[in-house]
Amino acid sequence: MSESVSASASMTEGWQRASKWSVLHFLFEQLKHSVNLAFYAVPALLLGAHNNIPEELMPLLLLGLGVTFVVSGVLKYWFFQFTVSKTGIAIRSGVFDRTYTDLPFERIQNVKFDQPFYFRFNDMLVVTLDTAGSAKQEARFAGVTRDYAEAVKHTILQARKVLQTQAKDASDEEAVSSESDIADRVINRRSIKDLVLHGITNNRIWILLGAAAPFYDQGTNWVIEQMTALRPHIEQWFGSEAVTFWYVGVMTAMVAFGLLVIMALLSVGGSILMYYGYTLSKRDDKYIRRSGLINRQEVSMKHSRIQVFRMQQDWLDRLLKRVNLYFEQNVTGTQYQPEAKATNKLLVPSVTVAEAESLADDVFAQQHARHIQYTGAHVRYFWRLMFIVVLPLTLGVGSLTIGILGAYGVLLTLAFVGCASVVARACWKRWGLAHDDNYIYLRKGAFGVDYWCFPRSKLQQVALRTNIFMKKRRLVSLDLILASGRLTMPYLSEEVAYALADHSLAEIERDKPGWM
Amino acid sequence: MQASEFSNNVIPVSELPSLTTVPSEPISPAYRCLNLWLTSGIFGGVAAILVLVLIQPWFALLPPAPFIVSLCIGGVLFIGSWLFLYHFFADPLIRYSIREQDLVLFKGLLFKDVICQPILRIQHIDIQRGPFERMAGLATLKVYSAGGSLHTLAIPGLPADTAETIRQFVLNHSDLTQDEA
Repeated sequence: MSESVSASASMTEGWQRASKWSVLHFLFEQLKHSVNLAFYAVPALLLGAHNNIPEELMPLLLLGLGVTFVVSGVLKYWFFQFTVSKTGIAIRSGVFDRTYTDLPFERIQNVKFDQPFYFRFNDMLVVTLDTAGSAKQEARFAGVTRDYAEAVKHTILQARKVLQTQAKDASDEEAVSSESDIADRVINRRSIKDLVLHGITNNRIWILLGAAAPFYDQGTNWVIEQMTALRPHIEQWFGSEAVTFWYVGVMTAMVAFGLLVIMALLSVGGSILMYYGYTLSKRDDKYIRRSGLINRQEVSMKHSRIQVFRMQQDWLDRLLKRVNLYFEQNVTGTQYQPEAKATNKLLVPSVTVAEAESLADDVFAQQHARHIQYTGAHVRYFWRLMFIVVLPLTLGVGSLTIGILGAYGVLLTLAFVGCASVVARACWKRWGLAHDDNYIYLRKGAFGVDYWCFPRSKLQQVALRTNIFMKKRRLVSLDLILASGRLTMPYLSEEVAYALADHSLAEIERDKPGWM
Repeated sequence: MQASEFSNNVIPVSELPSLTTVPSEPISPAYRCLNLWLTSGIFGGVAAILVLVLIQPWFALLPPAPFIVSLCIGGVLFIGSWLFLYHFFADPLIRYSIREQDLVLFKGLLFKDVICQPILRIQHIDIQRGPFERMAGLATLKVYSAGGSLHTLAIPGLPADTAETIRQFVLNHSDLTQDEA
């Protein structure tokens, strides 16, 4: 993208190409795509297809593949053209499948900056323009300089504001434009220590599990080798029958301990990879998250778009007195996205309770999520858990343990029932719903605790669900549907649930507050 | 429009319109009829085909096969009759009411749901008519909010013109354009 296009309203009508560096982006996209495809190809290759390809042709084949990639990257760059008008951005792309995307500024929900590792050396960005509509309706510009990216963002925000205030005076617009030049204000940073804590308390293992798969085999081989090397000594000291116990015992302990350590380490690694250099800043009415070790990421979320916040504390978080704070906005039209890429959720990882409180206050002023008195779920919720979850599990565990161990199995079964009941009770006790004039609060968890808080004005839909057993006791489960998803409070008394539903609906229908 | 007889425009808290006392209307009885016919037709048809397979004279089924086919017939008939019974009792319980400010749907036999969708929060609305619904002169009204597709309010079994009337009522509602940013 040429610098001279500095995003002003007087954009040219002509079509232009993105920066030459975007070839790099297309190249890597292609590579990523091929690697994904390769997963399917690998089994076929292993099953003998590679025998059909002569060894000496392999380098040629690889070279051909490489050339194809480069050519396709260049072609993609060549055919990617865009034009910016006063009302929006139009993009033509695709080599064979020509697609034409028209993005009016007011439909652009989110401007996201990414910095993949291949753009780090020249500090360029990939800009993604998200719309509220389908996931396909998004535009990506690669190889954009930081200044230009900021300018694009500015143009879009500006254009939207102008559109929104079209009816107002020109002087108003003037005020708006000068206002948005204020620089970012960092309101939270996360140190390496915080990220290590985050890694330990939040298992981000699955991110790295895939990558580590080839090493499992080597690991276990090593352990077995060591065991076998030690075997003669053990036999010498304890006799041969002890060896079996020794093997089983040591193996179990080692595997368990090893897995724990590896998982924690991987998890810490994942956390640092994703959240290195984390900053949460505020500019105008936007929250901006920047983080990432290899791929720098920037996600911004408009204050008014935040539907709900969630303070999440697992049992380990509670011991360490840390909180994961999530801000969530609407999910309509977006498919499931992995956490690191999700633009509809903004996570502040492992902050202290006090920091979480102050950030939450910043988003929803005068919220009392942690201090308000909650109405709990009816005790029948506990019995339902016992009946539907604990009882079948107990029957399973009982028949298994008693079948194998005989009388000792009874003890194990009893122990299981004890533990399961304690968990069920903790679950039941944790449920709670509360509200004040502005917000509705929900609490849930078992040994950990999650607090959810949202303004009553953000409600989209209310559903009251009951069944014939609950009906007899005049109990209902209350579903509160927000643009960010559904929150459910089970087993409330009918009076409480209907009163809250009626009040909230009446307020919304009377005052007609916006939700975006 | 008969819908505007119900008002929920009251402000004093003690007199708030309540979901517990909303008068509601039933959907068309043809909906149950249609479902019962469809259930009988589909499951009866599948069972009949399986029976034919079992008794046809042209080729002999090897030993475990007749048993498996009979099992399938039993299963199909079992599920079919449960579905039949379910529609028989549950469909008449689907009721709805259109208030000045929201749409309310009541449904459920064993699990009873009351769903309320404020018109202010409606993103878009459409009418869906499958081939069988068209035959029965019925339509399903679907109301989408920003809550996502999982929480679409769908009122099934409306007579086609009623569905159209409700759609127009919602589209003409003054609140509908308010939310668009």
